[in-house]
Amino acid sequence: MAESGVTYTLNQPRFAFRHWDDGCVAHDEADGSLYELTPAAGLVLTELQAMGGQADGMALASKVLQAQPEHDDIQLIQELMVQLGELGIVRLEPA
Amino acid sequence: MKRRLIADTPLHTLQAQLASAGVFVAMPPFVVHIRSGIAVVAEGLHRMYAGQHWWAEEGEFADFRVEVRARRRWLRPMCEFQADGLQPFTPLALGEAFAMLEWGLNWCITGYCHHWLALHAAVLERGGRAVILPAPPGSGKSTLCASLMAHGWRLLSDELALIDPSTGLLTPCPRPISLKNASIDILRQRLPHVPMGPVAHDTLKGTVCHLQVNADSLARAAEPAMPGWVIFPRYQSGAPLSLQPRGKAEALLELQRNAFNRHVHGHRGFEVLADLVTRTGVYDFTYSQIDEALACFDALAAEQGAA
Amino acid sequence: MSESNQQFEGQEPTSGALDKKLSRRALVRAGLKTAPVVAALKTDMVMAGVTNGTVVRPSAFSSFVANGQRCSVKPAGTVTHTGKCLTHTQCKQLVTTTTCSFSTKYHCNTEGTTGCGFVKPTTYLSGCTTNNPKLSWIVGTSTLTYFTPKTDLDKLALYCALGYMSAKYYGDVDCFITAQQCRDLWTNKGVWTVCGVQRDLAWTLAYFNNCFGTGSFDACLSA
Repeated sequence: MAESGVTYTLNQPRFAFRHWDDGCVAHDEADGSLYELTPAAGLVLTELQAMGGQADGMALASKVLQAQPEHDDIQLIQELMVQLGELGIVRLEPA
Repeated sequence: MKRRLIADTPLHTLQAQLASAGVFVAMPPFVVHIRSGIAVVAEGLHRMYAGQHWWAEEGEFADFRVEVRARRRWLRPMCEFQADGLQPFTPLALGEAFAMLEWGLNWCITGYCHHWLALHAAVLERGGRAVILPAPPGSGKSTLCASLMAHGWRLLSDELALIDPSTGLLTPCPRPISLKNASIDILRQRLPHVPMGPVAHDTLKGTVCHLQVNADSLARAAEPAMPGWVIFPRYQSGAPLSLQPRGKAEALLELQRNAFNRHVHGHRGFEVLADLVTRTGVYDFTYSQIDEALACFDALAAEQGAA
Repeated sequence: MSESNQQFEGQEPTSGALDKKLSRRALVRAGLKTAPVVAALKTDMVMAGVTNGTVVRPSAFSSFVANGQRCSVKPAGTVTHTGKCLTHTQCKQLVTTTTCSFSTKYHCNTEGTTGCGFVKPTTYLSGCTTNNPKLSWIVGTSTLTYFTPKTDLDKLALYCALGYMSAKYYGDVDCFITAQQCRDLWTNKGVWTVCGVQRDLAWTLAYFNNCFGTGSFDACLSA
């Protein structure tokens, strides 16, 4: 099982978000921007927050899937985190 | 100080006082001091605020001190709005002076009153629950709002949803309903006994006039309301009636677009609006027949009452 | 057989639980394959927010809660800061003009009335020389003199004065922007850091204009 060598950290308190079944909205307090995110992205952020706001790829994938993750799962989450990182919602750091 | 009902005051008395030292008018939850030497402002106040009180004596705090002044230009007479020395708008034609007063007061509230989260929306209440109607111009919001008020819904506002961030409740600020273009004739026919204000032609919004707030809405102006629904209305000629649930995330973004001062409230404002969409029924609403629309709102209120 | 299947077999799940896990994985994977951002609402305005000394704080909510959540805070609400700013340095502590001279003495007398979360300007600030623009703005009397900012720094001075008076009235604790931030803003000519992001004069003026000026209401008026 491939491990992600990256730690994901929620960029709080700058960002706040709210998640529903139909989607998620993130709010950037630095400039007031709002982002409507997909339900899947919202789920990942919610689970990351439940883990104290910080986790590595393997642990996060496990929490999201509630099952042992496969390599593709970890990869998909990493791709999501890279995109969220570009918005500033999460920070990516070497594990 | 002696408070007098505007309806009991001769127009010429009100007009003279407006043109000199000005008048204080109770427009709950605010007190506004108004000065103007323009006749149509006096006529508009006299007719549209007939059920409200005024006084002349200083001594009570005024939330806003405003003036609508005439200005002569080369081609035609104009008017300008001033608030505490600020002139936020470019001048308009003199005939629009009462409309300008109303727009100016909205500006004062959204510009200064940051202890509320303010949305561009109509708000009405029935059975203890309020419906918030955020809507862009041309959506038929004002026609719907006026019809709902006449149908027994309490008007909190036709333009401004003022949300108290600490409680999530809506604060009423009932003022004349702003109508434009086709809605003016529609409502003249539907509500022939409800006073309408001076008509201003050729404004930026077309033809504009105002409809008086009913006595019940004014009497209960100190009573906040719990939100029950957020409904995005849209008038579409010939369209069948439609009330469809709207996704919470998408609705939150749309509400934020209609927020005047979310930049002041930060995360707190975000959480307030997120709570609002979470706790209320959120819908898209399309209508073409007013009576059908009213029946639909009746059904919503009845469901809430039965719940 | 894949490792994940071995894991499931080792745990001997029911077929219903297996279906549920596979379904969740399938749903999540499908969701993650689409771009995460559905829509964005971008603005460039600062937020009132968390307190770390470098961000703007929400405007006076607690004051209005204490006053029964009414907009018209009964005065008490006259804020007066009277003082003679005898030197350039002392004048800088409040607000000053853009071209004040070190050798010039100013009389700085500011007043305002409270309401709606901000101190509303009935500000009177005068410079005592004819070489410097006067910030004189008297409202509520028969003689009205309005300050018309001519430069960006004039505008900044005006906004800093309004923000400063609001801060002082609301105890400089739960106010929209603190007195020190107003002084720093003036000293740094509108450059400051908000939520970790450095902002310049143009941004700062747009921000204050949104708070004290027509801001987002323009769209309502012209639509």
